[in-house]
Amino acid sequence: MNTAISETKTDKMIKTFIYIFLSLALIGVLYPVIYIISASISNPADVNSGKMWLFPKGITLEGYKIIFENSDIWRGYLNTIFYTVLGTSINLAVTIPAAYALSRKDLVGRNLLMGIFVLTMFFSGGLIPTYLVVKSLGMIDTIWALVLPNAAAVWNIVIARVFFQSSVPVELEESAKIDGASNFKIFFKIILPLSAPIIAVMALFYGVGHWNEYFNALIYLSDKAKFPLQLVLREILVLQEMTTENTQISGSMAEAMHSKQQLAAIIKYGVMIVSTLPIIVAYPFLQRHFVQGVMIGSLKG
Amino acid sequence: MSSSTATALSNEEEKMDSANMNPIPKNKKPKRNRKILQNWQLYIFILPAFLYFFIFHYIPMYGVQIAFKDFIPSKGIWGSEWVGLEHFKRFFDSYYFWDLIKNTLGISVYELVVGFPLPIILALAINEAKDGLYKKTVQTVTYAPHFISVVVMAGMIIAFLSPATGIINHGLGLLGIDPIPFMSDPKWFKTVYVFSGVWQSTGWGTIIYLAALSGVDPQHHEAAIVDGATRLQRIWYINIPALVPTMVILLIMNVGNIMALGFEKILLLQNPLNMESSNVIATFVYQAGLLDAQYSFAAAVGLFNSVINAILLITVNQIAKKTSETSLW
Amino acid sequence: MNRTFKLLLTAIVALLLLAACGSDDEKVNKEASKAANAEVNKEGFPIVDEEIELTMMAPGVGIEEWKNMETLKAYADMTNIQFKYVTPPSDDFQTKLNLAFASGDVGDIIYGAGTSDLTPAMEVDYGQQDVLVPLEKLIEEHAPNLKKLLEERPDVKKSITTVDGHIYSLPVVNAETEGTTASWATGPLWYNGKWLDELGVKELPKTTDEFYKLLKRFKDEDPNGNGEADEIPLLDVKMNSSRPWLMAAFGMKEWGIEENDGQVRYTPIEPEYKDYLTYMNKLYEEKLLDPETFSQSDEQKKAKGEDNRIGVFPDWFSYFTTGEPEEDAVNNPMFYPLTTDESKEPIVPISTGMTRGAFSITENNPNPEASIRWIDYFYSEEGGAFLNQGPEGFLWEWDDKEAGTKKKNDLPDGYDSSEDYRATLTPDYGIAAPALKVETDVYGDKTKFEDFIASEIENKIAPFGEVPFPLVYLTTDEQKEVNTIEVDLESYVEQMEAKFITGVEPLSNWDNYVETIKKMNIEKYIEINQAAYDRWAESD
Repeated sequence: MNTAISETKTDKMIKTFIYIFLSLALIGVLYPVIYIISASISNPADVNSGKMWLFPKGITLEGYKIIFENSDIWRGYLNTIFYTVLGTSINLAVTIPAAYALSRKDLVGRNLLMGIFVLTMFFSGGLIPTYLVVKSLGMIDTIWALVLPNAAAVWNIVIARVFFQSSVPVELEESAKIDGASNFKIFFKIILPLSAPIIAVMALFYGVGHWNEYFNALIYLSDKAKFPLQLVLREILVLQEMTTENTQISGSMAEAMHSKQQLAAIIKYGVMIVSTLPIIVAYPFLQRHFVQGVMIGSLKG
Repeated sequence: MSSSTATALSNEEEKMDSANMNPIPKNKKPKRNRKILQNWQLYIFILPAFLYFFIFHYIPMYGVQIAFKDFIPSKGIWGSEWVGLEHFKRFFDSYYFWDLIKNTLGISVYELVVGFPLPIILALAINEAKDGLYKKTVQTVTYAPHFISVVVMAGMIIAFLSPATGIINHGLGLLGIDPIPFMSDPKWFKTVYVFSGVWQSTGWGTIIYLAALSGVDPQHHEAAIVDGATRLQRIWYINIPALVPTMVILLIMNVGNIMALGFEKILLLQNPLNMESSNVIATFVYQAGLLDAQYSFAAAVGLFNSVINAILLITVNQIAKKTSETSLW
Repeated sequence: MNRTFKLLLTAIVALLLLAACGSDDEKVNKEASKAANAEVNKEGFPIVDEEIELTMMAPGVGIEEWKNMETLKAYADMTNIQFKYVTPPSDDFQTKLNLAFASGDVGDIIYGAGTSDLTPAMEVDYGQQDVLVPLEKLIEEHAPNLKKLLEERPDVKKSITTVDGHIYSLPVVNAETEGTTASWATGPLWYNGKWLDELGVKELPKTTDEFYKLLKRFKDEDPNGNGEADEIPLLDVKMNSSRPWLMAAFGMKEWGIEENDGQVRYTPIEPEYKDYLTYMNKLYEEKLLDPETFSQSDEQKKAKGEDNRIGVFPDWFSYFTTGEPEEDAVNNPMFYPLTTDESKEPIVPISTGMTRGAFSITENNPNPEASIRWIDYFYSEEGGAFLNQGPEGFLWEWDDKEAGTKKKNDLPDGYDSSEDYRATLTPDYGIAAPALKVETDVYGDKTKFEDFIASEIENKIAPFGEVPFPLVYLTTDEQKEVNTIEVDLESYVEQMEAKFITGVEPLSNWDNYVETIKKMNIEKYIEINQAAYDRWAESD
């Protein structure tokens, strides 16, 4: 019913609307991001009094200087990169095959297995029994304590499973089976090449999890040489969150808190930028894999 | 070799079945067994995940009992004294019990209603934008706030919303609106919490949808263009249906998380004036725990939450099963 | 494949068994190591002739690793006792400590935890299960300094002895509380000295009325001279730091349980508390109390201070808030305790002068005698100073060893203050390090600021100081009941204080408020504390 001209008109309108919407989202988010960047090179007093509200004020690189001079931070950085790469590889090796298998309708017991996995989202033995298991496996104070107790996440398995269910055409599997291909072969030769988007997403989800992880490190590690970045930062900023409500405060504590607070005020924003920059920069590279739709089409044809 | 493994695996299957379901006599289901044999490799795929959940989640699960005990770490979980439902009773009898439930549900549902659709809309919009620098910038910038730590985030919220110096109230002032005490008026707490969350996580939430959109076969779009479909029609009839399975699953999972509201951000934004709407189960447990490491009490409240969450999840999953093709199981 | 699978199954079974047997194994180990109790010298150093090594769990403040601290290195050489230090960040220390208790590897000594991490309730629980070793006998036989201290200070002994008569942990004790900052229960309120000069105020307010009038002048007379009415006469972050000083004006020492002449009461339901709320409400209504008091962050408060916008504010030292150099802070006078017509005697709540839970010996410790001798030295004046200031040659050196006079060394490069440097030398920085705290700044001339603080305390705190409630222990049952009551009670009282002050809740609802608190079982709460106080008062 629509004429060709009116179609392009609505299309144009929609397109304009989409770009306006995106620009609004961009500005809404950009402001706080710029704020943090500006705050990281501004005088803390100007930041806290609200005088610095967009562009840096009282510019100082003191915060970055302190960060870059701290060797613990760099060691933590290297540790974190190592844990993230190792941990994410394990995560992918566990999650992707399991999610694929669970996506197969001809897998007997898939609902039961799914139920077993999902149940762990709700019921957990808690910190202490888990700690005891890790301890009895001899993993305390080793890197394994950081990568094995979170080798998979139900949430991610579920998401990957949905991807396989909705994005991998059943016909592909069927025809491969008729050709006599084993499940191993189907998975490695057909499924994996189609899975770039979900592998990218899983790598991102798990990778970010490992990158920000400090709790397991705190619980299972005591050797400072093994501390990941987030735990190092926590140690540096630790007294900052101590409140005045803590009743038994002494003179030395008050002064310790004061000097920590001053340090924290200077490096707080810089630390955030330094510690998250690599993972933010990594995102555009992973995004490339989201443009994989073409492949499915070509394989089918 | 392969067949013997398959037998072992199918035995394993049987064991799990008999442990968790009514035992199924072997000979009655020959077809089923054949299927298991055929797909033995798929069980190998699941094995690592299964072992992981078994070792790190099921072995420690005996710890659930501390909700019914007076747990003292040095006595151990088995050695601590059994007190039955005492901790549950204490929670239910709390002066704030109904406030806690009301606030927890209120914030979670609000968050779900506002926070759930936005990533979908943003993902659809990003998907429509032409590939290039602008699209990449939007994607990366909207994703960045996810990495701001809760402490800094809370500090920024308080600073931006300050009635005297905050940028938001300055803006409102320019529009001739009197400063709003966002942080000290309990009416505003939920909104502040939810929208700051939206701001922080919408971009992050688009990732999964963008991945799903990349699974859409471009031939569909090409065919639709040839047929004269408008952009809006293509979004509606091609892109959105492609997102439905992911949406349904995320919705189920989110509903199953409704009682599990985290405490950190709320605690940082909480003050005595907004407490009547910011006092939630998680902060209550945190404060109770501060007095004295009350593991058992925290475990009891956690168990209560989990049971409700599990019931919700199962219900929503059943509904999803009936109304759409996607469900958790 | 089949074999792999069997292997895996075996591994799982073995794992399960391991998890089940773990605790037994440890017991055996413990017994074995206990047999190795080293020969301990009766007095003097070294404590043991043959070197021993123990493990110590302590909260770290993340400045220097303990094994590198000069004080600990020097003391290890003196005593022949080496330590393996486990020092999780102090914020997370409680979690780590509880995990250690649960898994049985809690180390030989728990050091510097303080009551927030090793709570009185934990002492009682773990003491009763023999996880913590009773110390009173060890003190009697091996710790002359501690023994002397407990004899001289019966209040300390009363406060560290649990209901069953045992001592499970040692405290930090201040040798002299009076006249030092150790007497402060919390940081004081300070006046902005520049504003007082500007307005020509010679005498500080001594009654609530005078205080009100001064705040009013701060508000109206533009004391910061910028032509804008941006002055904030009084401020706090929530009310936690200024409340003790303002409540005291109405005759209350504590926001909660306090004791007067043996009688225990819960102040937030007393009529005096209503007067306090009424007064604060007036200040709030007239914008003399910062409208952002309940919602601002500490950073925002400091920013206002650095902007010279505040008249009266709480902090440990005034320059923490104002950002001035330390020597200028002598111009900011300390708050003088106020009185009202009903409460004519000035009162200042002061600290008990000790922190409990600072040192415990666990059942794992193969050398309890050596351990108690190790800590005992720090309860002498010499040892307390040694712990705080480190060995000779770093912060200080002997000026005249015969006469015992010391002089301060120059700071090495890279340190802004001697406190920063001290933090790398000794664990006695920012944690409850068990020792007798003595006057340590004995290097001759005091700074102007130190003199100023001493004289302020002398004039404004020392004459009026009272301890609100002694440190007591509860029985396990009492503790349980108190925990149950406290969770609701504390958040209710905190909420209502804010609502009454800001006028969200009119004071005409006072009776309802008291009624609600009574429903929260306040009678029982007072009763338990009264019983605990009575036990404390009667013990010897």
